[in-house]
Amino acid sequence: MTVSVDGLVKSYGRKRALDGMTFHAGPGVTGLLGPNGAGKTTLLRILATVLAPDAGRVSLLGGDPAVAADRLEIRRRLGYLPQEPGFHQGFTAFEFVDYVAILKQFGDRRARHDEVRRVLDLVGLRDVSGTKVRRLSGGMRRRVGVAQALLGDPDLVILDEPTAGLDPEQRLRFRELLSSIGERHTVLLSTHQTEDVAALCTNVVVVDAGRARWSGVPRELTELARGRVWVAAERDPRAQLAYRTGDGTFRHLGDAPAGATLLDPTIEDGYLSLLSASVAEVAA
Amino acid sequence: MTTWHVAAADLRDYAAGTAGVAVAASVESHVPRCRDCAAALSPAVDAGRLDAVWAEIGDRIDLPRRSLLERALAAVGVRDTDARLLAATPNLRSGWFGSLTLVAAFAFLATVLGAGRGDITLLLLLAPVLPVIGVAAAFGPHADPTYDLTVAAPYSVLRLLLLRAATVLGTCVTVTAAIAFAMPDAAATTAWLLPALALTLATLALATWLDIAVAATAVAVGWAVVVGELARRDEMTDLNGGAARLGCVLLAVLAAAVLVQRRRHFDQEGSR
Repeated sequence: MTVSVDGLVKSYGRKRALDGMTFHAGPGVTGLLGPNGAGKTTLLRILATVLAPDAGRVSLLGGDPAVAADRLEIRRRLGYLPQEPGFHQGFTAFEFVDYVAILKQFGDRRARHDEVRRVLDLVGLRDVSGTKVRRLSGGMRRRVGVAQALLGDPDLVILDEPTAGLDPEQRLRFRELLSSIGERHTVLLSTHQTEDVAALCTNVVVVDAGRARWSGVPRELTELARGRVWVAAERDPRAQLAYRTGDGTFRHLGDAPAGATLLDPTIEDGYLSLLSASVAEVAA
Repeated sequence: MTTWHVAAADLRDYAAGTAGVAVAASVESHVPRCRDCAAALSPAVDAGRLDAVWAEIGDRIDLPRRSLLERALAAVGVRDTDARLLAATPNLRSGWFGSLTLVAAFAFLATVLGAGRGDITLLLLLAPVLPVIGVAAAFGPHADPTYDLTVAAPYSVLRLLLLRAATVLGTCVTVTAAIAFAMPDAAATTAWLLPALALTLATLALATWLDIAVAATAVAVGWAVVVGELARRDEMTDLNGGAARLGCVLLAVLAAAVLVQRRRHFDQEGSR
């Protein structure tokens, strides 16, 4: 396994962000799906070797990030997009990616510049490489962030909310790019966009309250809601969730009443079923 | 149409890049106008070398113009990679120089024109603390927008921090020295230099345990207490004395030793 996490704990003061997180990920695209505050960003910062955990074991690319020599080797093979990648606003897109390339120890200037151009090409930003980052749109800045994460064709790519701020076309192109990277390497991304997971991920880990609540393939997550989604002309108060659809009927999620008109579930239904079960479990 | 042609040996030397300046200039002037010499030269040129030269030209043309700061750093001999890393120093890109000059000028005016005319207390209070503040604002999760990217990269965090600290210290010393030399009291010109170095190193050493902003605050408050006590006893000139200098040297050496010993603690957040 490229990524192996066992019993990870991390607290900020009294707040426990990770509470015994355990999961594994190999080649392909693995999505971390969970609500805000579930611990995804803390987990990814630990996996990116930025943050040290309080307890638990992590193995990345066969190394232990707690060991300095291993950590250095991991960093050489790692690409990371933080949730809010800051930019030095005075830099152009080229200069910013070049800055990260220097931090990634691309020594030869020409080879470094060629690599910077390659990754800017990959995210479709070659034409604006000379534009200051502060003049780029939010979506373009996000793509600059993705570009720097792809420098050196890393074996492990960690992306925190990579599709936030991208328009639909950019999102589709991004999925195409990530799926091609996932054919050769391990991509770990966090998101709360279930459609990204369904379209892109080979595996999914549902994170909630600092733990991995569930892991499997997206289709299995969808199947968790099989028989729990139904449609009716009126809102059913027994449903966990109900909303009016475009055709005027009500779509429900929950324990379906006898004789209900069942619908095929989506991955979102499976995800919500799982989370509501978690909530019920905690309440009990 | 010319009847003169470049000697075969000169063409070979030019193609190999070993021709002298005069021969190269002559070949470059002649060949574009002479088909025979151009035909003789082309096969002699190494394709790999030609590709490398062409790629270099493409690279240079395609590069965005470097910022004024990067060009200035390159002009004083800083490597282009280090110049780019320094250009990303948060406070070197903001109003750092202006703020620094204003504070130093304030200390100067207060000393020269203030009620306690000639009293260097304010200068000695502020001058060593300015680089401490500057260093705290040069790196860290709160100061550097790319902190996470920086830490996740294989580049040595300590080296980057020291590179930025040295640059900030350099700017502070330059600006403050210019002000201090204009002071009426000769002690003012040098008394702050050693404390500035010692306090900066102490801040970096403390930052292996604490957030760098907290470390800088602690050091600045500690220094204010020392200066305040000396001022109360009317012993400010002691800061230029042998004992004070020795104390600063000892503090600097101790802080440097701690920094080296605990350098790995900059490598990962939460590993303090």
